[in-house]
Amino acid sequence: MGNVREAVDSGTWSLPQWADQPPDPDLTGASFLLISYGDSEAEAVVQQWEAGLRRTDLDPPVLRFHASAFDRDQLADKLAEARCGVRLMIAGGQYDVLQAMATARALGLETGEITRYATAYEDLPLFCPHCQTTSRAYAEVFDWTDCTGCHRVLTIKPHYSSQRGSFLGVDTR
Amino acid sequence: MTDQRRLRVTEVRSLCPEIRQITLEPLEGTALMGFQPGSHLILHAGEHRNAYSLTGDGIMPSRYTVSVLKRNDDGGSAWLHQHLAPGSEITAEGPVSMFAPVHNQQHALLVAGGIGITPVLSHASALAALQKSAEVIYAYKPHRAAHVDQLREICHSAGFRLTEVTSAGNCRKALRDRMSDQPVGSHAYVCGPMSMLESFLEIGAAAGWPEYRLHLERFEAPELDPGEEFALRVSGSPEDLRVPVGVSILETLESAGYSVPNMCRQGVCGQCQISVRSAGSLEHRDYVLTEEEKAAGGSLMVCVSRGTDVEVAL
Repeated sequence: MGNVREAVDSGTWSLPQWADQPPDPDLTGASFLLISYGDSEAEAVVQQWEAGLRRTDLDPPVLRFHASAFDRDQLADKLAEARCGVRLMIAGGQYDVLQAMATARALGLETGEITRYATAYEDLPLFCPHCQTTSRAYAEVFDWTDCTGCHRVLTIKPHYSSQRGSFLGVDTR
Repeated sequence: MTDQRRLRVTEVRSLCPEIRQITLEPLEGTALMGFQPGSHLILHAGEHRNAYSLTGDGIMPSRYTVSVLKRNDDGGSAWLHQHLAPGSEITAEGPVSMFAPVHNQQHALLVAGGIGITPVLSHASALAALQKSAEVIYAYKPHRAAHVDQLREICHSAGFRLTEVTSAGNCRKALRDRMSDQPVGSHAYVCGPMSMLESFLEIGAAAGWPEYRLHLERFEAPELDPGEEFALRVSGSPEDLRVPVGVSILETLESAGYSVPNMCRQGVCGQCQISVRSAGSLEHRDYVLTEEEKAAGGSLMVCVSRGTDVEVAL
C-alpha cells in the first residue's frame, strides 16, 4: 500500500498520539479510576500506576478494575460512582482504550482528566459511515477490511475522531 | 459596545433592607432579547453605568428583572433606589453574557454569597426549566436573604438540592462537603465576595476540579500595585505616549483624547478589551481573559493590565 500512503498528504492526517512509556498520574486529581483491558501487560501498567499513587503523600482513593474488553455500560457505571475531581487512567489495546476514552468524554470527562496508554496496536475502532457501526478491526490505516455491520469493504482513512473514538472507513470500490 | 435602548420600569419591590428588585419591560411595539443564564444588563443610573445580573432564565423573556443592592449614598445603585418608580424609563445596554453555563455540562454546582445570588438564580431557573440537575449553596446574612423563597421553590425540582448557610465558616464547610460530592462532568459557578471566591478556588482545586470546571463572576477586584512607567503607541499615530506609575493605559488613552469603551475599570467586565499589535512584554491583571488568551497576547484589558513598549490598535 506504499503508493497509496504517499499519495495522501500526511499534513491532513489526524491520528491518535501515543506515549512510548506509560505517562505519570496527574496528581491534581482527588481520586483515581484505573482500568486495564485485555492482557496482563495492561494490568501490569495499571498496577504500576496504583503503586505510584500509593507512594505519594496524597494517598488518594484509587479504584482499579480489569476487564477482558471494553464494555460501555460497565464504564458508565464506574463513572457514575466516581465524583468530579476523579482522574481516569486507561491501559490496554488500542481499540479498547480509544473506545473507553470516547465514552468517558461523552459522559463528561475532558481529555485533561484522562491518561491513556496503549499496550498493543493490532486492532482499532473503525466507524462505517454507511451503516453507522463501529467495528473492532484487526488492521491498520490504509488497509482494506470488512465492516461487521453491513459487510462493505472499507478503506481505513488516516482520520481519527476523538469524539467517536474511531477511525473513518470508506467504501471506495 | 451593545446598543442602547429605553425600557420602562413596571415594578419596584423591596426584597430586604437595601435590596430592591426592578422589573423592566419594553416600550410598546418592541421585543426583548433572550439571554444566556448569568448575563447582565448595563443600566444608566444618573452619571453612572452599572452592570446588574438578570435574574430570569433568559428564555423568551417578556420582562427583565434585576436586584439592586444599595452600596453607598452617591453611587449608581443609590440613584436607582432613589429615582426609579413604576412608569419611569431608563436607558439600558445588553444583555451581555460573561458568565454563561458550559454547553456540555452534565450537572451544575451553583454557589452564591449575598447579592451574588442574582446570576445564580438565573442559572438555577434555566436549568430547572430545561429539567437539568443542579445543586446550590447560598450563603447569606439572615436579615438579607434576597430571593431565598424563590430559590427554595426552584430547588424543589427533581435533581436539585439546596444548602443554605449563614456564616463564613459554615460556607467553607459546605464547599468542602459539596465540592467533593458532585457527579463526573459537573461545572461549578460562584458569585459572591472575594473571600468566598478564594475559598471556592482553593477547595475546588483540593477536590481535584480542573480550572476549566470552575467559573467565577466577580463584582469586586483587589487593589493593584501601581506598576512601572512604560511606553505606549497607538497604531497609525506618530505620537509616543508614556503610561505613568499608578495610571492605567485606559486613563492615558483618555487623556490623549481617545475614546475607549469601558465600564468597571477594575478588570472584571471585559468592555475595554483592546487589540495588541506588539509589545516588549505584557502583564495581564484582569479576570476576563483565559490563561491561553493571556499567553497568546493578542489583546489586553487596558483598565488594569500593563506591559512594556506596548502598541495597541483602536
